[in-house]
Order: sequence, then C-alpha cells, then structure tokens
Amino acid sequence: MIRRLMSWMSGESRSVDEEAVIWAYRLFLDREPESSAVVADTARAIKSWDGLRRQFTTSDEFRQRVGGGGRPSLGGLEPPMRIEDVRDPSQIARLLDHIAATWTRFGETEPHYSVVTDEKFRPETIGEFRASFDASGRIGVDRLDAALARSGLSLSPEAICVELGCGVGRISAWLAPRCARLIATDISASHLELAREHLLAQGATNVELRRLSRIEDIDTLPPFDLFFSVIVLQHNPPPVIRAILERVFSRLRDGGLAYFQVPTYRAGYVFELDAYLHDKIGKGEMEMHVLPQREIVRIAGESGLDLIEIIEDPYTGMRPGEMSNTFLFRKRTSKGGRLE
Amino acid sequence: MNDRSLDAPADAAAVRWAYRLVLGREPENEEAVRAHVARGTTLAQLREAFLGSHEFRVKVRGVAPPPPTGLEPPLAIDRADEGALRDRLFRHIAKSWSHYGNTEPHWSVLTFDQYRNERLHENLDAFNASGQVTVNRFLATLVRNGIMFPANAHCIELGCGVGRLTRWLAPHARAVTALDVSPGHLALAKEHVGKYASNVEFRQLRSLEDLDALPPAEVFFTFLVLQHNPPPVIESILDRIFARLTPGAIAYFHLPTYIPGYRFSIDAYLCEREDELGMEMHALPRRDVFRIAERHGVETLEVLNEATKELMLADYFLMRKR
Repeated sequence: MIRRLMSWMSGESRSVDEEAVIWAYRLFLDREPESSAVVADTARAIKSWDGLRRQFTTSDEFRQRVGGGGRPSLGGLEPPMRIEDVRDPSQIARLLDHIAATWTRFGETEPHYSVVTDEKFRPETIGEFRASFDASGRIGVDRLDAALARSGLSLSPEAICVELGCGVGRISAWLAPRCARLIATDISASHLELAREHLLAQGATNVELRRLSRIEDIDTLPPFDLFFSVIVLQHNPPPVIRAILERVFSRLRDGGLAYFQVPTYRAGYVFELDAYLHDKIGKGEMEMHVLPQREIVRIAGESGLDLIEIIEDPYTGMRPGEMSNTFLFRKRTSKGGRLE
Repeated sequence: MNDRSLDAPADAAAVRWAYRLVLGREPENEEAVRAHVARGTTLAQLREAFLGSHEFRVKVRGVAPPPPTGLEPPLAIDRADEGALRDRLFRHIAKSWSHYGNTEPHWSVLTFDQYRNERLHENLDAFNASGQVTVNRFLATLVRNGIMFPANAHCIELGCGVGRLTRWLAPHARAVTALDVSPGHLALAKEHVGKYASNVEFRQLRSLEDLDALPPAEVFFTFLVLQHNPPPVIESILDRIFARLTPGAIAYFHLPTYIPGYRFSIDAYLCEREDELGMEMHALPRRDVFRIAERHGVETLEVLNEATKELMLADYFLMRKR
C-alpha cells in the first residue's frame, strides 16, 4: 500500500491489482467481472493503469457501450434521398422473397457472422468466441430498458412480445425473461433452427419461434404488447420496411409499445425498383437500406401510435453521412387519447 | 466479489477509481471526492460523467464528444404547470438576458471571446455573416424532407438577439415577427436588420402571455434560444407557439434534449438561481416535445442530432402542423 501510495505521489507507473481490474469492469463496461479468474489474469497481464484503460477502451464491448467514440452526425445540409414509393403487393412479395432467399443462405453458410458482422463470428472461429457472441445480445435489451425508464414506461410481466428478425436467438435469450411470452420471428428457416437450439440450451421456455416468409404472415400473429427489432429492418428495401411496419403497428395492442431501429439517412442512397431488381436479385449480398424518419413517423401516426422517443443510435457505426435511429412509439387506447 | 448496483450511490472509493482509471490521475484533492459523494450520484451517473468528460475525451482518448449510447438514464425534471410559477421563471430569465443586452450583447449570442465588446469592432462582419449557415441548414432541411418554404409566410423568430439570423431569414418570408426579452438586444437588432430588410417587426416579449397575442404564423424558427430557459418555460413557449401556427405551418427549432447529469428541481433552482444573473443551459426530453406537439396536431418530420462540441445532446426538430 505504501509503495503504491508513493508511486501515485510521484506520478510514476501505477501497479495494477485486482481491485483496479474490478473497478475497470465497473467503470468502462458497466458490469461486474465474469469471474475472479478473469480478474486475476488481467491483473497479472497488465502493468499500469494506462494499460488497463487502453485494454478496456479498445475492447469491442466498450465500443458497443459508447457507440464508436466518434460523432459524425449529419451536418443538416444533406440533400434528399431518392426513394421510389412501391405499393404493389406483388412487387413487395417479390422483394421479400429475394431477402428471404439471401438470408436463408446466410443461415446455412455464416449464421452468426450474418447477425453480427465481426470476423470473430465467422464459422471457423465462432466456437472459440461463442460466449462473447451470446453475451453481446444483452445490450439491446439494456437499451430497451433505458429507453423505457427515460420515458417513464415499463413492461408488464404479462406482456406478449414480438421480436422481428431474431436470427440465431442472440437477443431473444435476453428478451425472453422480460415478458410472459416471446414470439421470435425470422425470415430464415436456417437461422430459426439455430435459435431453437440456443434458446433450449438457455432454458428459455416461453419463446415461440415462427418463420415469417410473407408479409401477410404478420397478420397471423396474436395481438402483442411490445414490438422489438434491431439491426433487422435495415436489410430490407424501403417498400418492405414500410409494409412490415404498417402490419406490425396494426397488430399492436392499445397501449402497446414499438421499439425498433432503422437507418434513416445515408448520403447518396437511392432506391429505384427496376434498377434494384436488375442489380441485386440473386446476388446474395448483405444489403443496407434506409427509410426516412418522416415516413416512419407518418406510418406510425396513421396506425394511432404516438412518438415517444427518437434517438440516434450506434447500430450502423455512426459513419459520416449516415444516421441510424431507434424509435419508441406507443399505441393510443381505443378511446383515442394520447397516454400521458 | 461483491456486486454493486449501478443505482447505488457512488462512494469515495468509486470516485477515486474513476479518477485513476478513467482520467489516469488522482483527484485534485479530497474536496473533489467529497463533492461527488455529497451529490449522491449513482455509479451509473458517475461513470457517465467521467466517460463523457472533456478531460477523458480530449486528453485521454483524443476523441469527439460521445454519441448517445441509448443507455442514458432519465433526467430528473420537476414539472411546473402552474402559470404563476412559469411567469416567475420567465421573469428571471428575462432579467438575465436584459442584463446581457446592456453589457455583452454579441458575446451573449455567440460565446466566443472575439465577440466580446472590446474585440467586437474587428470581428463584427464575421459575427453577422455567421447566421447564414443556420438559415441554410433550415432551408436544406425543408428540401431534404420534400417540403417548400410556405409562400407568403409570416414567420415568428423567437429570441432574435441582435438579429444575426433575422437578416438571413427575412428574405424568405412575407413578414417576420422577431421576438426577444431583452430591449438592449432588440435595439441593436433593429439597427442591424434595418439595413437589409423592411419586413421585420421587432417585439419585446414581456411575458409568456404575449405569445398568445401573436398573429397566426406559417413558420416558427428559433436557434440557441430555448436552451437558456428552464424546462417549464420551454414547455410553455412551445405550447403557446404551436397554438399560433396555421394548418400546414412549419416549426424548425433547436433544443437540447439530454444533458448528462442534468436535473431541474424547482425549489433548488429558485433558491440557488433566482437572484443570480447568468447564462443557464437547460434541456427538455424529446418525449415532452412530442407530447406538446401532439396536443396541437403538430407532427414530427425530422429530429437531427446536432454535431455539438458541448457535452450534451441537442436536436434540430422539423415539425409541421396538420
């Protein structure tokens, strides 16, 4: 203790003991360490407080927590995007079939990497990093909790939740304990199969997995109290995002909450149906799309949902000229009033 | 290993470790530690304050301001719906700003040292030109959202100050009513804008009720103004202005919606601030803005985070009355 006190006073390199490591977990990662073994290992491996800070602030978990560190929000002078308005149900079905084919293939070839595009989660290495993949789902539910708390809202223990695009069940495992029943949906049968195994292993017994392969399948969902979806809608062309949200909003119960993420601006983004069909169908790429805020707020308003919060989020990396938003809406009661 | 709740108050050990690990140094003195503990901040708030601090961002990591993480806790903001109390808060703000109007009118609008009185003469042109980009941002926002500046618009500008923005806004409108609480600012605005535009009426805002007497408007515009008012005053202003908008009217306004650690307690505020003249920074959460807008049939078209260098989240709102 005396040695450490003296080294502080002299401003020299400070030794790292287990207490320092535990506090680094709390301060940088907002949680307790996984185990005392991890703490002991870290304390042995890292020699100084500066090293400890570097280690924690360059970790993926820290970056996820603080969202990349940079702040290249839009400057406000950005021009409009050209997005063709497609309403024809047969065209929307065609677009969705294309997305379903792409994602079913991802589910067969790179199921985990397709959910979180981090090299560690490629099939060759997922075995080694599976625990951190599974743990990464928690922050999505933490953000939901924080958004509800900021808005003075809470989720009833009786709530029925619908998750759109559950993938391999990464977030579902964290969301399931928050509701009475979770209906976790995906467009890809191959992802759903892995989700089934994962949720079984996690002991989540209140989850029903459903494949949504057509837009109309949304209408078969029972009425629900929470709609949850992050990093999913972005992979669908704007007419599909719009059609999904319209149907989801109409299935939401009075007083129900919709919490979801959609990229809302990207410099130079264009969606033109003919060009898209020509360039993208059958390519099997991971596509990134956007829908402007005003469209989302308009669709929600038409379904009787009130806007509670729009927050810029780090889900697409906060790159210059790009904006992703997380929305929280609440459906009005049948009496028509905004819930205060 | 003892689990600590993030909601538990941070003790002296937590504060010391935040200094050491986040900032890489010991606290300045014991007083600094005691002050944190006495404030009753939770571990989550402590974490947020240190990771969001200027020192951590610039000295330690060399990065830009933190983005919203989505994990921000709620702000503790007292509501004050009582008219008399809101009027009292308004009078306090009007007093501070009238004082600035007589002492540092330009610097109070843009708080850079070059706009203080003693250096203003060499920087006045730059000051006056600086308003153009904000008006351009407003126009670009309309274009981005596919809407036109309403034709023959009567435009309400709240907090015109010395007319820095008014001059650039006026050519787009049929008429502008430029409001400010400070007679000193208004006199300078009249002189400055008078050189460029003849369609601007300057009015001193003496009370919140004055807003109810404004002629109906097609455009509401305000920038760097609402932030200087306590939340109940911001609420009252938005409520009254939205009521003055005509169907199809546009509202474009700038407002901080989240400041880490911000709280507004009426009793504490009246006790500590009411007799002080000063520049205050306040925030109103988005949900309150949307709630007030909805009451008047005002719909949200865009909410854009400002790329601020300050440690707060401020938004540009574009709204339209149905």
